[in-house]
This record gives sequence, structure tokens and C-alpha cells, in this order.
Amino acid sequence: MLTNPLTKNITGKNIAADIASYLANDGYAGWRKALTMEPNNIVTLVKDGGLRGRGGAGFNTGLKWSFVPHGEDAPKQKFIVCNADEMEPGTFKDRLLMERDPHLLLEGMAIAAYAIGASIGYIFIRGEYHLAAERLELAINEAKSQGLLGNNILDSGFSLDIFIHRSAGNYICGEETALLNALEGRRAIPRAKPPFPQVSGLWGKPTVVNNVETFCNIPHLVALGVDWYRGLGLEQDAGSKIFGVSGKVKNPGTWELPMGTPIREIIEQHAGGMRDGLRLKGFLPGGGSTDFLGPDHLDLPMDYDVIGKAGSRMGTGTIIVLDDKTCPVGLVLNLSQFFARESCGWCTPCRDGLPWIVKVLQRIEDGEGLPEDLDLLREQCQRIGPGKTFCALAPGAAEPLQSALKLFEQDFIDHITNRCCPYK
Amino acid sequence: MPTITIDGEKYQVDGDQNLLSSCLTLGLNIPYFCWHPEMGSVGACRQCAMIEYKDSEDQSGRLIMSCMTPIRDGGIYSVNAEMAKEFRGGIIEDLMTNHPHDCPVCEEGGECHLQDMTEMSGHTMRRYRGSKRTHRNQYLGPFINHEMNRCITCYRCVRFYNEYAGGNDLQALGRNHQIYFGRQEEGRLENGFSGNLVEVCPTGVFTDKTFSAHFVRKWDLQTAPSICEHCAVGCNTAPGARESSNNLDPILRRITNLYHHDINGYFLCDRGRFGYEYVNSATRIDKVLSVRDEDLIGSTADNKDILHKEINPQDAVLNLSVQITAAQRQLRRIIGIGSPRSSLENNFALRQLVGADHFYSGLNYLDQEVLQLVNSLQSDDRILSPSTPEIETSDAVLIIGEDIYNTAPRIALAVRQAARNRQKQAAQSLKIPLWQDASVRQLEEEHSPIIFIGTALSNLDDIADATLFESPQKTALFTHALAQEISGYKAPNLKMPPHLQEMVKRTAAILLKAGKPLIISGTSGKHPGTLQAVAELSRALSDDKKTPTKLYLACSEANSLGLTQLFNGTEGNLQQLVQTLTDQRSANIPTSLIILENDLYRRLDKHSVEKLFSLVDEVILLDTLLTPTAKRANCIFPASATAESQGTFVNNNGLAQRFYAVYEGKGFIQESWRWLVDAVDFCTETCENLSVLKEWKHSTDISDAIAREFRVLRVLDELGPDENFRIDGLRIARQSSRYSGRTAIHAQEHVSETPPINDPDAPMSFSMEGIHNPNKTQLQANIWSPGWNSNQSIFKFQEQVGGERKGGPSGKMIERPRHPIPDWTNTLEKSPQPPNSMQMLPIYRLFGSEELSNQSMAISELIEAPFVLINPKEMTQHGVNEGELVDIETSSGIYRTEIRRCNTTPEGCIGVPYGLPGLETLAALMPGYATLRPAATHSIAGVEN
Amino acid sequence: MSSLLEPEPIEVMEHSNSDPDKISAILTDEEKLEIDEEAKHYEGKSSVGLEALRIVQKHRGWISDNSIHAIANYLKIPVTQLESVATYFQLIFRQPVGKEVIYLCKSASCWVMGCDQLQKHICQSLEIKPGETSKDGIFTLLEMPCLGDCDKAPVLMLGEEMYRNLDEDTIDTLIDKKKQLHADKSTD
Ligand SMILES: Cc1cc2nc3c(=O)[nH]c(=O)nc-3n(C[C@H](O)[C@H](O)[C@H](O)COP(=O)(O)O)c2cc1C
Ligand code: SF4
Ligand code: FES
Repeated sequence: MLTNPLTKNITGKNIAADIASYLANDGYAGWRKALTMEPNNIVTLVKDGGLRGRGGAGFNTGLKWSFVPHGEDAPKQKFIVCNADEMEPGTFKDRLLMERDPHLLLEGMAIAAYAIGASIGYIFIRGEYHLAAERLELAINEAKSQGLLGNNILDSGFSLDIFIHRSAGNYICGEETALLNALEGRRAIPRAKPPFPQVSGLWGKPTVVNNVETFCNIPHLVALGVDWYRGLGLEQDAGSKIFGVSGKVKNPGTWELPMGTPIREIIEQHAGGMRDGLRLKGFLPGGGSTDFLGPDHLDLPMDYDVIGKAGSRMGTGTIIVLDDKTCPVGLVLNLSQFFARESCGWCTPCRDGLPWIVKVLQRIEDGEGLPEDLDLLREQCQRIGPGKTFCALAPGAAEPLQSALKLFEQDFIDHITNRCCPYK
Repeated sequence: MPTITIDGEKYQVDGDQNLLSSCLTLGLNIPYFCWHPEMGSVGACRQCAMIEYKDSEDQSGRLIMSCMTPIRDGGIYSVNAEMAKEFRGGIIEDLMTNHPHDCPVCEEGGECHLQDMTEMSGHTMRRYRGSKRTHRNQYLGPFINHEMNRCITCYRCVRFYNEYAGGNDLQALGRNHQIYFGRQEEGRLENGFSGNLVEVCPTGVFTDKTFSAHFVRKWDLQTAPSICEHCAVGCNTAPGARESSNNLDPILRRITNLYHHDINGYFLCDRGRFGYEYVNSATRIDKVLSVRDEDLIGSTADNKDILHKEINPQDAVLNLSVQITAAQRQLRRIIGIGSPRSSLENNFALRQLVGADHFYSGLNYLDQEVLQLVNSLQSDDRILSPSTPEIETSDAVLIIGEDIYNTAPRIALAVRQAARNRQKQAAQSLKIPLWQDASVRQLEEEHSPIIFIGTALSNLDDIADATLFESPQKTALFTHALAQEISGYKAPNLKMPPHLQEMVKRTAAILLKAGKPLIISGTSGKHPGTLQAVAELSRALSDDKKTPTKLYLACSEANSLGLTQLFNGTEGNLQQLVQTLTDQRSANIPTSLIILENDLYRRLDKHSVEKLFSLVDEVILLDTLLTPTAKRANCIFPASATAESQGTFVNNNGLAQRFYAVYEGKGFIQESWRWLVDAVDFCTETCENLSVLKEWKHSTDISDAIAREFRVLRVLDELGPDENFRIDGLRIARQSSRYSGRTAIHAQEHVSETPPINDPDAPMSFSMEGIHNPNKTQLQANIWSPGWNSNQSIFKFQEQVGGERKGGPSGKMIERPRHPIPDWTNTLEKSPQPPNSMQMLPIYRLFGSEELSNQSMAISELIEAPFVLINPKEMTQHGVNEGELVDIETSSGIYRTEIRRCNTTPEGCIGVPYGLPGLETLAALMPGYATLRPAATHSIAGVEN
Repeated sequence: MSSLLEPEPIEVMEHSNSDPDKISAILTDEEKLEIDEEAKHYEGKSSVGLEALRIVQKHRGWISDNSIHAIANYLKIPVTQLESVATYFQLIFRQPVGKEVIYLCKSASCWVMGCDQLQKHICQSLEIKPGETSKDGIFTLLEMPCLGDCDKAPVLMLGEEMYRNLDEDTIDTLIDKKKQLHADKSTD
């Protein structure tokens, strides 16, 4: 039974699977099957499969699709958009998928487009991903030449064009409504919801935005079915996932593993554990905008709800490990600088609050912090928390900070009382 | 109506509003920045936080942005919960981290929404210890100052300027905490509504540069409600004045918007906001002037300009009264010429003095004819003159021959909102509330149909989906054809090229399909045929829809329609006056001509004006500015400007509105009617006419007299309370209760307070004593409420946010007898064009076409040098190139101007800027004919005789 | 410890630099062709604004005031609107950059793996601060958000090429190589 649907075409060599080898390995089987199905049934199938969005929020993908209006009265023009803006600190999974197996993404997008009735797709890729963009472009042409994309695909009467949009930086472009504004040639400011993009998205038309990895899950889910897919996961969540580890471990990297794989297994077995002489002090389970977890949490399975209950988020499933010789204040400062700089500038707490947080953290790190600064930081975390800002960027920025203030409180206090960074 | 609970109190609220505006309507104080009553919510500033509880069990609740929250029937909310208060305080604290705290040197200080909100949010302690970011400011033109360091990034400026007003040269630049609101490069803000940035910006980033030149704090301004005199829309304004420091005389210092639900709402155009400076300009008449009596021994100048000297007002009045007395004895004839830019009261006083038979309108035949046409169109029951909100909600707009951005600017802004109605419908079908501004705007980009036919269209071209540039004759033809198409005329009798027929069909279909169609036209084309065709079209549309057609007709001057009411048809026009005087030349009786606030050179061709002057013996002028006419007057009386006097204007809708004196004009300046009454007072002889004048002590005495004399104007006696009105025994205070430095200003002379001047006309005081609350009377124009020092406090004085002012709308519709318009179907004219000539079509400019504002210092910087427009084809035909000088030969002489290419100027026509300095005297000739030839030598542009 | 009351240096925000080279405000045929090609994929012309900026920058290295005007003219969109987009995206350069742009990843994983030290090293050897261009006009150093190669941290991108698992030596070699390349080019 297939257990690595996302990476089965990926080899150790830095080359993309071309159309021939992709087809040879059951490529586009899901697409062929989908074209024989009722679009609605695909939506139901994906919903039942329990696939949750891999962009970070973990929303049920099929459910998301089902909000797209369909039938006679629905707008004729709809769009499918792939979010390939991967810019979350410590996240490096979408790059791999796009560079090594571009057809898998295209196939997933094609099925999604068919399911919601979209005839145009955009891959919104961050400007720095030159290689991925080139390989995707090539793959699109290959697929077109085989009649798998373009006009009247495989004589089904269904047509789909996929275009690549190269962005020009800015983390906020990954937020799906900001992404739509960027695609429309505007400043990438998030939009108010409702209306959700599924109802009024790109140019006001129904639009579904999904993450690269989410799309890559679709072909096999459709080809091999719900039971197989659900069976891939070890715990509650279905399917497999690309997990990654970075930081001072022996063997940083990415692996496709079942959902629900215990964190300890990922860090200790796959990533080889901590480098010699270092101890794990904490880790961010799913990228820079998730809360720190500590060594006590190592035995948790990587499942959305479990990690959520533990006080963090699965996020993108790429773990950043913090060791005991690296300053947690410095790491949080670094992350806060990132978020402050990447703020779109729309809402006050994020635009003006984050730079203030950075200044306070910098002071603490420089040994000029005051005891009351910690309360100020806690208060600031409250102010940029969920529901208080216009989009999820600022709450994401709050997560590593607020958890560090709890988990590594002593480190902050040491900085302030010693008037210097003890790690330097 | 849904019921909601806020902090334990139950309220009934309007379910279509968001929570924030509902709370404000209820009188609760909630701080906000990015929300604007007219522009809706975008949720950017996060200042308006409240708590929403799931149900009565829910103890902790959830923080929400009230501006982004729809009303839920039975919803439970809190403003005062600790969590909400703390968050709001925190937001201010965040915003202030980059704010320079420079209130003492900031011109917003004292009417600053940021100050108010900071107070309200209770942020009093500064914890931020970092540096502040520093921006470089830009030069934005003569109207607006830029101080970006004060910015709190609420995005209101760009939302107003780009999205609401259609400007495209101000944007948010950069990102994160470095956002900068500016232009791509320095330069004047090009949109004609830029002045509203001053009021829209909640802090001191955009301030009024003309006000800077003579700045005082808001609380040191005395104000009274006024009406903008720079076009006929009738926007309400709150001018502010204060005595200048070096002499005792008050000067007019600025104009701000005064909310009127049916007219200007929250916004004014730049002509209205910055045109006021004419009052303080170098051409202002503030002395009584008389012809110099010493003999001119020799001069080579062959013009007949009179040199003036200042004389004692008493002598001048006496002199006038001698003439009046002589007239009573039949020894002299006195003729009066009225004016469409002066109040009804002034016009009526002059009429009373000279007698109706000797009173002339001050308009030429054509101008009076088109005004009478407007009047009769508006007297037909099948036609309805729409208010601004009605314009904004119309779903198809046809504009015929009127460049409204330049002739009725505020209406163009309303039309821009109408263009969004399709988008709004789409929003409603998606259940997006209309106040969710960003969500609505992101929908479909297609505009509701806006169709234009006429000579020139400015500023609206981006939203117009069909434009047809034609001569007035063709425009009329098109409109007739449209009327025939709509009324299903069997055999159209109009010959038109196929592409026009096609457009007629399409336009007809659009108007017929529309639920709320709107037609806009006006007098600026000076073409009766167009108005007659518009009448036919409106009638046809009304017959089809079985409801009155909404037709907005723009007139040219603040009181055009008011003046029209004093005359029958075209009787009393200036040509008629010249004719009468010529016919009676032999009467051998000396004639005095009293001209009321009118420059005749703008009304009649030069030769006729000269002829008129040659037919009279004495010219007496009452006016505010030294116009060319003033140079021909034997005696000049300084007349009050609008902001210095009380009176009544009738606007484009037929709404009679009263304006009140904001301050007393300096020196001997007084209302024109008072000069006349003064002169009558000196008269020894009395007769019935004159004794009436002698009775007039208050402006309202005249208003009442007008109401008695003219049925149509009956409403004038109900317009406002008279000067005896009191609230709790008190007058209404023009000065704020914090008016400062009253004695210090004159300290070098005395430290006692001079007694305030008594206002004989209005129940208002020129002091701080009296009623300050705008809720008690609409005469209070200082929009201020405790804790709300900026103009944003207006909501405290509205029935509901964005609704009618409490106390109902000010102004009253004049009551024109209803009668159907005559049948003009077959009045298509065939006017022969003289060979080798071009028709001069008036084109209009926001800055440059209007007489008074042209003298404002800031506006004069923006007025173009004389030019004419011509289409490229004619350009080659005449052998002229863009930018070259040409001579325009007319019956008033030769005018030398620059020539400009314009693809939309109809063939056989040149576009001549109406009233542009240097070409003012051409105004009277349009739409007549001229010949055009390359200028022989290159000399400066201007008039040459 | 420095005084808490001592003001930090003032940051002056500037959004554009006037163009010393005065490239004429028109696009080349090649640029136009590429923009037209992209425009086919979008609904309105203004949608292609960012793409156009990227294309022109590819050819000219950065976006000067003139380039902004040229693009705005060509797309018939207001120049301030385009500026608003151009100044929003960090990979659109409104100031001149060197021939080689070093995009150094400064995000979490690279930070843990010592990118600050690398940055110091680069700054020292090129005698520049982040955001500046070396005197010889060859190198510009930019600080980047996560480049998505965290398992091979620290990383940088030079031009369009990724360089991974860096240390000071590999960076020295890389800089030398590029220096050499440009020296060769200029002697050609
Ligand atoms: C600030 C911010 C940045 C984001 N960046 C990304 C991103 O780079 N890639 C991504 O797929 N999703 C990103 N997301 C999540 C998207 O908004 C969205 O939830 C996702 O694309 C939906 O796809 P999915 O349902 O397949 O996960 C980001 C969200 C926020 C708030
Ligand atoms: S939280 Fe606010 S300022 Fe920050 S990125 Fe989101 S919308 Fe922009
Ligand atoms: S007023 Fe509600 S968020 Fe700004």
C-alpha cells in the first residue's frame, strides 16, 4: 500500500519529475478519474477524506470548497489559486514539492478546479522561488501538450488554464485575501471577511485558495479513496504530511510521515536528535507563528487538535528546534523583527504595536531592559491577539512571544537583572 | 427595529447600521478613527472596540470592532467593560508611539479628533521609550499643508481622495510602520475636492494652507451659518472670522463644511472652501469711492476708465439721496440693475427704490431665457429636482450639456457615488452590508451607467460609460431623438447618422430599464434648445414610468433662480434696457444707473456696455470687488460679502436658504440694501415706495416684504427666526464659550472690552454670550460638543448618524405655481453659421470661471492663462499648432490666446473658457461666432481692442 | 549601560530616489512584449502592474522614477497608484542596487544557525551596512525573511542562485568569485 503519496516521485537528486516519469508512476490517474465524476461528489469525497489545509490553519479542504456557489445562478467565472508564498520562518516544504514534483501540484489544482467549476488557476509563488517557478512553467507546458491542461481536457469538455504569478516579497501575501489583492495588482492588504473568497474572491468572483501541499494531497485521495487516505494517519487526522526540522539537530531535513507521528520520533529519529553537547530547550512545532512547546511535549503526536490543546498550533508542521546554548530572547526578538517588518501596515496593533515590541525586546537583549518591560510585553501580546487585529499575522506574531514569556521567563529575568545577554 | 442591550440598557436601533454608528446615534461616546459616517467601515484602526456577549450567561464576552459588527437583534454588548476600555487605551498608546505630540504648534489643535479620542480613551501616561519615525513632507499645492509625522495611518485620506472623490494622485506608499500618504512626487493635489482632506484627516497631517496664513484656534473663530456663493448648488458652510491683530477689524479666515443632509452632506468642493479669500483680496472695495473731480488736463489713454478717490460716506449717501429726490420730482430717472449673485433682499430693495418698471435683472436676454426655462421645467409636476442623496442613489445618469464638475461640483461628487449602485446591489445580493466599505468596493468593477452628451466633461470621464461630444445643436437633436425613442414615436422626424441613432437606442434602453434614472442638465451651455429638448425627454420618461422624472438643472450663480422669480419671462433683461434708453434718449431727462453687485462686462458685449454707459449720466455701483464695471462708476459703495451679511439665496433645487453675517465687514462696508435705505433716509420728499424703504431696519423686514409681494417667495418669512427670537432669553453666540484673548488683542490701546456690536438682522450675538448648543438651534454653526472638538461632533446634532440635522432640514422650497411645460417638440432651430466662423462654446473651469473665487489668492495661483480649445482637424485647417498664439476676432474685439488641442471639441467650434481672467468679456458673447487666425506677432496673451 | 533617555537615532523614511541616469520614460519593445504576454493572464490592465514592475526591474536592475512613469504610461494607470504598489513590495527596488544582490536569510532557523555572524562578516569584508551597495557598485546586501531552505541554514541567495550551509569561508570564496567575474567583465 502506498504510504508516501506526496514524495513518491522525489529522489535524492535535485531534478523535477518530468511528465514521462510522472505518468509512468500513475501520474494524472486521479485527474482522469475525477473527470468521470460529478464535481459535487469530488467535494464530498475530499470532505470525507478529512484533508485539512496544510497552509497553517488546518481547515477541512472539502468543506472549504463546498462554500463555492454552484448551479445555474452561480457566477460563470470562478478561480482556483495555489498559495505558494511560503514565507513562514522555518518552513520549507512547498519549495520541495514544487521543485521536485511539479505535476503533482498541477494535478491537484486541476481536480480542485473541476470540483468547484473554475476555468482559470493561478499559482501565486513567492518571487524568490525562481527554480520552482521555472519547473512549474515547464510542467504546465508539458501537461498542456499532453492534453491534460488547456482546452477541452481529455475530451471532457472541461478547460483549465493555469498561470504562474511571481510575487515580489512580503510575508503577508501568504494571507489568502491579501494574496488575492496582490494578484489583482494591488497592495497586498488583507480583506474583510465576510465575504469569504469562496463567494467573492479574485475580481469579486468565487475563488478557492489552497496551499501547495494541500493540493498535492488531492490526486491520490481521489485516485485511491477515502478509506486509504484516512488510513494513512496514525491518530485523528488523516493522510500523510511533510514534516521538517531545522535548528541545531544532527540531521535537519524534511520527511513525509503519517499525520499523528509523535514529535519525539520526528526530532530524535528522523532528524537525528540534538547535536552533541546540546539539549533541547524548546521548539516551535509549526513555523515561526506558533507557540513554543517544551521537552514535556515531545511525546505528543503531530495532530492538529492535540497540538492545539497543548497550547500551540500544528501550523505548517515544520519544527524549529531551540537548543540550550541559544538565547530564547534573541530568537523571539528575531521573530518579532520579522513580523514587525512584514506587517502590511493596515491595522494599528500590528503596525505600531510590533515595532514597539521589537524595541522592548531589543532593549532587554542589550541588557537595558526594565522589570516592568515584561508586563508591557505581556500586555502587548494581549493587544495583538486573535480577534483584536484585522488578520492573523499579528496573532501569529504573539504566539512565540507569549509562550516564550512563560516557558523561558527566567531567561528574560536574567537578561534584565544581569543587564546583559547571558548567552553571549 | 432590533433591540439591543448595551451595558445593561436596552435600546431600539436601526438594523441597517453597524454597531458603532448605532451607538453614536444613541449618544454613546465610542472612539474611532478609520470609520467615517459617509465612507463606512474598514476596520483598520481597531479603536472602536466593544465587547459582545453570546447570551446573558456569557460573563467574559468577546472583543469586537463595533464598526465591523452588524446589529444582531437581542445582541448584548458593552462599551464600558474593563477589557474594552483597556484595549482602546492600548490602541491609542500604540498610535501615539509615532505621533510627535506637537499639539501647541499644530493647526489641528483644539479641533483634533486624535486629541479628543486620546482624552476619551484615557491614555494619559507615556510608556514608550523609543524613537519616532520621521517623514519628509511634500508640497501639495496652494490649498493643503502636509505634515506626515502626525499621521496615525487611519487611511481615511486615501479612502476619501481616491475611492470617494475619484482622485488618483494621493496614495498609501510603503508598508508596515513606514506607510506614507503622499503623491508620487511633489505637486498640487489635482482633485477638486482635496480640501475635504482637512476635515477627513483626524489629525494634523492635512491642514488648510489658506487658513495657515491667518491662523487662529477653532475656539477663537466666530461663526454663523452661511451659504456658499461660488455656484448655485447651495452648499452650507461655516465660515470663521476673527479680528486681525493689528487693527480692530475682523477678517474672514476660513470656510468649513456645515452639514446639510440634502445638499452637501459632509463635503465641499475646493472652490467653495478656498474661494472665500476674495473677501480679503487687494481688489476688495472697503471705502466709499467717488470720481475724482479735478479735471484731467491731458492723457493719451483713450479708455474711459474713471479715477476714484475715497470720499466721506455721508457725502456719497447725500449725493445719492439728492438724485433720488430729484427722481421723485420727475427731474431725474433712476434705473436699477440687479444681480444673480446678490441676495434676494438686496435685489428687492433696489427694485423697491427704483420701482419695478425701472428694475432690470442684470442678465442678458439669453441668460435670462435659459433661467426662465429652468424655472418652467421645475414647475412641471412631471419633473422633480433631486436632492444629493437622491442623486447618489440613482441607478442610471444621463448628463446633457453640463460639465457639472466645473459648474456644480458637489453634484459631480454625488454622481460619482451613483456610479457605484450596481456594486452596491451586488453587495446586497451577497448580504454584505453597505457600510462594509472595502468589501463592497472589492466587488464587481462595473459602474452603473453614466452617459454624457455635450461639449465638455471633466473629472467624471473615468466612470462615464458613454460620452458623446457634440455642439449644443446636435446635443439638442440627440436629446429630442431620445425623447422620441422613449415615447415610442412612430415616425422619427430627425435625421441622424447611424452611430448616433445607435446610441440613442442604447441610451433609451438604459433609461427605460433603470429603476431610478436621473437626468442632469443646466444653463451653462447657454442653449435654450437643449433645455427644451431636456424638457421633452423628461416628460417622455415620466409618462413612461408614471412617476416624475428626476432632473437636476444647474444654474450658474448662487441666486440665479432667486433673481428669476422677480421677473416675468425675459422682461427686464439688459438688452431691453439698452433699447429702452436708446428709444427714450430724446426724453432729455438725466438718468442715474444703480448697479447692484454686477459686472456688466460679463453680461453684455463691450459695445453694448459702452453704449449703456453713454446713455446714462451717473453710474452708482454697490459691490464687493473692483471689477471693470467699477472703473466706469461715478460713485462706488462698498457692499458686504456673503459672510458679512444676511440674506437669502435660492439654489438649483428651488430651495430658499438664509445666510447670516459671520462678522461685520470692515470700515464702511455694509449690505447694499442698507446703503439704499441710508440714502432714502436722507431724502426730504417721501412717497409710498420710499416710505417702505424707510421702515426697513432689519434684513428680515425685507424678507417679509418679499414674502408679501411674491407668492412664489412666500416661504421667505418662515426661513428663520427673526432678530427678536431668543432661547431662554438669550441670543445665539457666534463666538465659542472659550473665545480667548479678547482684551489682549487691543492691549496697546486699551484693556477694557469693547461692547459687542449689536446684530440688527439675526438673533445672534457677536460675542460669546448666548446659546452655544447646535441642538437648540440650527443657527449655531460652531459644531462642537463636550469631548468632541472637531467637526466629527456633527453626529451629536443629527437625528441619526448621517441623517437629517435635528430640527429638520434648513431652508424652504419656494412655491412655484405648477404648470405643465409647453410643447417645444418642434422648436429645433436652424441657426445659420456665418461663413468662415467658428462657434464659441463656453467651457468651464473649477478655478477660473467663477468671478468671485478668481480673486482668492490660493485659487488665482491655479488659474490657467488664456487659451482656447480646438480639435486637431481644425487646427491644420487654420494652420495653427498647439501652444501657438491665435487671434480670436469677435464683436467685442480681438482676443489673443494660446491654442490647445482637444480631440473632443466639436467641429466648427472652439472651446472658450468661460470667465477666465483675460477672457471674461467673451462670456457675454457665447455661444456666438468668431473668426480665428494665427497671431501675427508673438505678444503676450490678453485682450486687444 | 547607556542612558535610557538618550534618543535613538532618527529613522528617516524615504520612498524614492531621483534617477541619476535619466532613462527615458518609455519602455523597450522587449519589455512591452513581455508585459503584454503577462497581461493576457489578467482581467484588468492595472492587475499587471506588479508583473510589469518585475519585468522592467529584471532588465534595468531597479525601478527609477522614469521607469515608474514609463510603466504607468504604458499601462495607462495613474503613476501614484503604481508607486503605491511598487513601494509596497520589498523585492521591487526603488533605489539603485549593485550588480550582485546578496539576499541573506535572517529568519529564525538561519538565526539559530548563526546568520548574524555571517552578516557581520559580509558587512566587514564589503564595508557596507545591510541595505547598502559596496563602493565598487558590485554588491548590495539585503536582509531577507525566511528563504525556505531552513534545513540547510544558514543560506543566502545571490541573484537567483541559492547557497546553503554557509560559513565564512564559503562566503569569502563566493564573493571573490563574483568580484573576479566582474573584474573580468570590465576588462573585456
Ligand atoms: C500572515 C499569514 C501568512 C500566511 N502565509 C501562508 C503561506 O505562505 N502559504 C500558505 O499556504 N498559507 C499561508 N497562510 C494561510 C493562508 O491564509 C490560507 O489559510 C491558506 O493558504 C489556505 O490554504 P489551505 O486551506 O490549503 O491551508 C498565511 C496566513 C497568514 C495569516
Ligand atoms: S494584523 Fe493588521 S497590519 Fe498586521 S498584517 Fe494583518 S491586517 Fe496587516
Ligand atoms: S473605527 Fe472601527 S476599526 Fe477603525
